[in-house]
Amino acid sequence: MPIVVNLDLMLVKRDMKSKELAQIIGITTANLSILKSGKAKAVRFSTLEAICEALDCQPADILEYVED
Amino acid sequence: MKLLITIKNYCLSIIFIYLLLLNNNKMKKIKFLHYFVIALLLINIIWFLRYIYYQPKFHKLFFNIAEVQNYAPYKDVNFLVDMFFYLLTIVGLFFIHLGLYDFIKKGFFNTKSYSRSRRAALLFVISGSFNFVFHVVNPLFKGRNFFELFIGNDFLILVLGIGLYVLADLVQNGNVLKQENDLTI
Repeated sequence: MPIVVNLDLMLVKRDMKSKELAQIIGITTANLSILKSGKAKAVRFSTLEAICEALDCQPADILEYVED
Repeated sequence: MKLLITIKNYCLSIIFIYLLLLNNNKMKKIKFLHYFVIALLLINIIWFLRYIYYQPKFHKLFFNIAEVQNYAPYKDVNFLVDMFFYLLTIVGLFFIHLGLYDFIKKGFFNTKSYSRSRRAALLFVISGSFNFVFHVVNPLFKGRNFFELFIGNDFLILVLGIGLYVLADLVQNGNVLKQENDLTI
């Protein structure tokens, strides 16, 4: 898929673990793993909002468009 | 006395309708359907064996002796053709039973129910179409009157088969929607 999720990168920058982020935004680690691996079909605005708030970043820092 | 029996039959019918249609529990309806399909499957298997397993002693359970003595089905090609398509219908019923079992165990949307419904549909469509040709189209070519022929059963199986195809497509569509919903974070 041409949309790449750079959540791992942001987590390293903020020195935060996946488990912590999952707890803060209120989703399971399994779902966060689906999001990180790019298997997710869609992201809810509410989830995106929570991630941005927790990592103190913009949606563009997490999502990137890369041509195939 | 007759009036009492009629009233009893009406009451039983109303209870039956209540249990089947007016009950809001969806899984209960599917369970009812499952039991009906199992019953139909068993009845059809016994009926099939009754036809295939030709033994006078066995047949005396179902026919009177005079009929048994005149009963020689294997000489008739139509009998073997009928039995073959009857068997297809029974296998189709078995797949419906498996599909319903998966509905009950795994919920409405699962891939197994889809594939089993499609298999049952295919068998029913084959069985219904060929039976229709053998029982309706062939006799018509031989000069039989259309209104003498009984086409209800064959058409019913054909319509059931096509209906199952539609149901299978609906289930598949639901599967895709469910998967997308599950993968929306």
